[in-house]
Amino acid sequence: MEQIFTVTLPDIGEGVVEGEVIEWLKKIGEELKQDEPVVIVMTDKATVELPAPYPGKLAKMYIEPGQMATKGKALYDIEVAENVSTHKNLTQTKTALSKNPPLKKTPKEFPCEAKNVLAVPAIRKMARELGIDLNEVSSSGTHGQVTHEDIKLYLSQKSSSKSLPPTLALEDDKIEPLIGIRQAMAQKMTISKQMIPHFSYFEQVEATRLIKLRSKIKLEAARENIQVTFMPFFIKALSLTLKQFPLFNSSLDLSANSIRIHQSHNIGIAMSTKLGLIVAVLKNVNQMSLTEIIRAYEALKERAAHHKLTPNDMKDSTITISNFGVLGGGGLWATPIINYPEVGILALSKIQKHPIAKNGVVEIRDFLNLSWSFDHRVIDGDMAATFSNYYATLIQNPAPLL
Amino acid sequence: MQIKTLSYLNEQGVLSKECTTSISDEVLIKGYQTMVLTRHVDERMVTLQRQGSISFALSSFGEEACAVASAAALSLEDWMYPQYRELGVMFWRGFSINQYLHHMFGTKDDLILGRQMPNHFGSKALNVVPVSSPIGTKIPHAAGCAYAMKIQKEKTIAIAYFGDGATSEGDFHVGLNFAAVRKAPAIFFCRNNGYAISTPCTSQFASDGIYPKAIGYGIQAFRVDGNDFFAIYDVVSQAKKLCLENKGPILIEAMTYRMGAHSTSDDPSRYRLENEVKAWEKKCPIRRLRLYLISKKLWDESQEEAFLNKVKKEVDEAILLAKKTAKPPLHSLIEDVYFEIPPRLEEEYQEVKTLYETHE
Amino acid sequence: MPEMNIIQALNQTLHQQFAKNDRLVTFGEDAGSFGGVFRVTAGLHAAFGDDRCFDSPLSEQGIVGFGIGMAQKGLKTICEIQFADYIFPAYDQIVNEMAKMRYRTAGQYTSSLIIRTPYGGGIHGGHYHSQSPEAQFLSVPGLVVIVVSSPYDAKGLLTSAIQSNDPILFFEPKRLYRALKEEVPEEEYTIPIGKAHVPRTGKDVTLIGWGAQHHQNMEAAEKLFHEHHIDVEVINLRTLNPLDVPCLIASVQKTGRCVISHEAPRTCGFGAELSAIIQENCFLSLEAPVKRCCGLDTPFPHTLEHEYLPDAPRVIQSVLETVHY
Repeated sequence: MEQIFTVTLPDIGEGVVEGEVIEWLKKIGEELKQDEPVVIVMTDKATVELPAPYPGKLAKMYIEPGQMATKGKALYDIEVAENVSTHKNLTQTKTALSKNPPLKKTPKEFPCEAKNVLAVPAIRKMARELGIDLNEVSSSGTHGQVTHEDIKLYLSQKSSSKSLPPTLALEDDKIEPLIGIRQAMAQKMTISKQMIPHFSYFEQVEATRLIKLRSKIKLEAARENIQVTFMPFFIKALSLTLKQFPLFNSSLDLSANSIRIHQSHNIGIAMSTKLGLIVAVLKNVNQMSLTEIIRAYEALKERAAHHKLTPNDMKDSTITISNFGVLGGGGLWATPIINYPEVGILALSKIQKHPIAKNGVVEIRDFLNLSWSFDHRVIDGDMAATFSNYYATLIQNPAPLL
Repeated sequence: MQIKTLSYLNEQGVLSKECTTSISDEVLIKGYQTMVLTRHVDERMVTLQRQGSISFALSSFGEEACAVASAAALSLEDWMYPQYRELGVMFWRGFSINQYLHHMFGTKDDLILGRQMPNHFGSKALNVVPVSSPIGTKIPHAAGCAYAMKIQKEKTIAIAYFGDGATSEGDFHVGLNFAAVRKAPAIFFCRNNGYAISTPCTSQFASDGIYPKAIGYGIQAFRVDGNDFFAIYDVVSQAKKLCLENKGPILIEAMTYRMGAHSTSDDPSRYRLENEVKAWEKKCPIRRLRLYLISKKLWDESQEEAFLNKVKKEVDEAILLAKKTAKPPLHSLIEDVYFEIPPRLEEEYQEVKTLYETHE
Repeated sequence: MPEMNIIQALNQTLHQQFAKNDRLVTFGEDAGSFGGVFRVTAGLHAAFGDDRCFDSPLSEQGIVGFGIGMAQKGLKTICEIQFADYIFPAYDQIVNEMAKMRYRTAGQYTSSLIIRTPYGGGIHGGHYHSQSPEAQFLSVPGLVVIVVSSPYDAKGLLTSAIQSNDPILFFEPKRLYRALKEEVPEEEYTIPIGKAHVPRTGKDVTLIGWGAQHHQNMEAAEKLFHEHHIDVEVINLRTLNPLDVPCLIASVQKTGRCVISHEAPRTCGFGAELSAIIQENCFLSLEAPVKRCCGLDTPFPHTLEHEYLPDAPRVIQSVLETVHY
C-alpha cells in the first residue's frame, strides 16, 4: 500500500515566508527519485530548485505556476512506497506543549481588593491579613494613600464599637426594645457624629414680612382647601439659597477624595411620627414654584400621617430641615445632628416675639431662630455665615420666594 | 609590485618540475578522497536544506584544496580556527560523517548540542575551534593561541582561515599586528575566492589582493594557487617551519573561486554571470588531482565509482540516523553559560519546562 | 598589618599570584615595563619577563581578541583596558566571543580571561575618563562583573577572579585608587564572587551601591543616623553578576524601603534591574517605591561633575524622600 506524503514549502532561508512557483519540473504520475528537483520556486532572496525528500510518484500539485506558495503549507503530494519511512520537515514539527498545562490558579478571592483606594503594598497586605476593607478606611497620606496610622485609627474605632462601655442597669428598669425606626435613628446618629466634624451657627431673623406673606397666600389657598404652613416658605428659601451656594447641597466621597455636588435639591423634612423620627424627602425642589411646594408638602404630610410614605419618599435627601417649632413650646436654639451623608442641617424654632433694640427704643417683633449645623470638612465658618445670611435675607424679605 | 602566484599542479593534472615538495602517496590519496567526500557531503546538505530537513547549509564548492591540503601539511596538535568554508579540515582530521550530520541536524549527539546554526563545525579532540558566525573574530584568537604556544614552549602553530571579505574587518588588522609584534607562530590563511556574499573584491579593497597587506605588518607572505593541492601543501609546510623558527607569523593568500552560492540563503545568479563560473570549472582542484593520481596509477574509474557509492551510502545512513535522534535535552538550554549554573537560570528553566515537554 | 591603597593591593596581588602560577600573563597599553598608567602592573615586567607582562599595541579590540586566544590555549590571562571609556572597540570580542565561548562550544573551549579596567568619575576626567559602563555588560549572558570598592576588596576579589573559570570584567574605581588606604593582609585570601557585603545593618532603609559609590552611601548613612535618626542598612554588592539576590531580598523585606545609587546614568542602569528584582521579590513588604539615585541621563560633564555625581548629599535626599513617602 502506498502512502501519501504531503511536501510543504520549506523554510528556504532566513525568514522567507512565501515564494512564487515558477515551474513544475515533473508531471503528475511521473516517478520522482529522492533528492531529484521537482519544482522551481522564486523568493525575493533566491530562485531555488526544491528536491524530492522521498522517492515515489508525483501525486498532486497544490500550487499553479505564477501562484504563491506559503511556508509550511502544502506544495505537492508524493505517493511514497510502503517501505519508505518519512519524517516531517522543520516547518511541520513543533515542540509539543506539555500534556499537563500549567495549573490555572484561580485568583484568590480577596474581599479587600479596594482598587480605588491608594495604598502601598505593605498596607494592602496588612489589610488583607486583618480582613479590613480599605474602602472603609479614611486616608491621610501625603499622596492620598491609607497610612499605618489610618489603619490604627480605623481599628480603634471598630474595637471601641465592639467593646462597648457598660450601661447602667438598675433592677426595676422597664425595658423597651431598640428596634425599627428608633434603632435606625440610633445607628444613623452615631455614624453621623463619628464621621462628621460638626460646627454650629446661629442666626436670628425678623419674620414680620414673612408672616404677612403667608397670611395672604393662606387666604388664597383656603379657597381650594389647601393648608399653608410656614414650611413651604422655609423650603423654598433654602432651595433659593442652595442655588447660590451649591456646595451646601453635596456629599463627601472620601474613597474618591472628592465632593459630590448634587444637582437636585432634595429637601429632607424631619417628621415626628408615632414610631419615631423620620425624614421625608421632597424631591427636585429646585424645579418647583412656591405653589408647587405647598401642594407637594401637603401631600407628603398626608402620606406620612397615614403611614403611606413610599421608599422613594424616604431616600436621597441632599439637605434636611428640622422644624422643632411645630412641637410647640418655647424652644429657641438647637444643635441638630447632620443627616449623614449631607453637609448641613437647619433646625427652626417657632416664630416668637422677642424684644429688639431699634433706634434706642425697645420694640417687640416676631423672630425666627435659625440653628445650623455644618460639616466642617466641607464648609468653613465664612461660608456658613454667608449662607445663613442669604437665607435670613430671604426670610426677612420674602418677595423672591414667590 | 609583481606578486608571484605559486602553482605546481596544472589543470591537466601535470606536476611542474619546479615543485620541490614531495607528498606521500597515502597523503595524496587520502587528500583526494577527503576532497571528494567534502564535496559530496556539501551537495547533500544543500539538498537537505531545500527539503526543509535542516535550516541552513554553507558549502565549500571549488575550495576543497584550501582546507584539505593545508590540513594535510599540518599536524593534529596544530590548532585550527576556521571561518566556515573549510569543512574539509574536519574530515581530514577524522571527524565522522555521523558526527557531522548530528551537528547539521542539531541533535543531542551534536558536539555543540544544537546551540548554533548548521555548519558551525568544530571539535576539541581534533583541535578545531568551532566556527562562530562573526567574520574575522577568530584571527586575533589564533594569534593569541599561537603566542601562548610559543611561551609555553610547544612546537605547534595556530592557523586562522578566512575569506577576502574578512580582511576588511578590524580583527584582521589587530590579529596580524599583534601576532607580528609578539612574533606569534601563526598562519593566516586567506581564501581569496572573489566574493563576500555578493560583494566582489573590487568593492572590498583597493590593494592587489591580500598579499601586499603583509608588508604593512612587517610579516612574510605567500600567494598561492588555491586550487593546487601541491602548492598549498608546500606553502603551508614552509609557513609552519618559519613559524617554529620564530620568524613570526605568515600570511598566505590562496587564489581560488567560490563555485557555489554563499549559502542556501543566497542566489549568486543575481550578481554574477554564468560564464565567469564556467571559466573556473576547468580549474577544479578535485579534477586536477584526480587526473594526476590516475596518471600515476594511484587511482582509477572503478575505485572512483566504489568510493562515491560508499560515501553516498554512509551519508544516507547518517541522515536517517540524525533524523531519528532526539533534540538536545531541555535542560541543556541553561547549561554552559557559566562554569556553574546560577539559581536564576534554574528558575527560568522551570518556567519553560512547565510549558513544554522535555525531550528525555 | 600594612596599610595600602587599591593600586598597591592590586600590584601586590599580581606579584604574589604571578610567582605562584607561571601560566599567569598580563598585558595592555603601557602595561609592560612602564607598569601601566596607573602603575598597577609595576614591576611585573622586570620580575617575570616580557613574555608574561608586555606592552600591547594600541588596540582594545586586539587586546581582548588576542587575550581570548591566549586563554583558550591555557594561559590565565589578565588584560588591562586603560580606561573603561575605551572598552567599546572590544565590545564585539567581549559579547560575541568571550561571553559565548563556553556555551557555543558546549564547554569544549572557554575564554576565562580577566579584563581589568578603571571606571567612574570624580577625577575631572570629563566624558572620556569617567564612564561607568557596567550595565552594557550586565545584559550579556556569560559575563561575570565585579566592582572593587576598597584595597581589601581589591586583593580578595582579584585573587578569586584568578581562580575563577568564568570570563570576568573587573572594574576598579579610579576615584579611589590612591584616595583610600586600609589594612590589607599580607597572605593570600579570597573574597567570594557573588556575595554582597553588608558593612552597616539598619532597620529603616536598604541602601544599595558598589565601587566608589559605596563610600558615598556609607557617608550618607552616618549623617542620616546622627542628624535624622534614620537607621540605614548599607549593602555593597561587590559582584554585580552573579548577584547576591537573597541578601537583597532579606534586607528589603526587613526595612520595606530601598534606595539604589550608582554613578552610571539612571536609564537602563543596573539600578533598573535591581528595582525589578526587588519589586518582584519584596512586593508585599514595600512601604515606598524603590528609589534610584543615579548619574543624570547625560554624558559625563567636566565642570559640573560634582553636581552630576550622586554623592552623599543626593543620597541623603533620596533616603529622606523614601522614608517620608
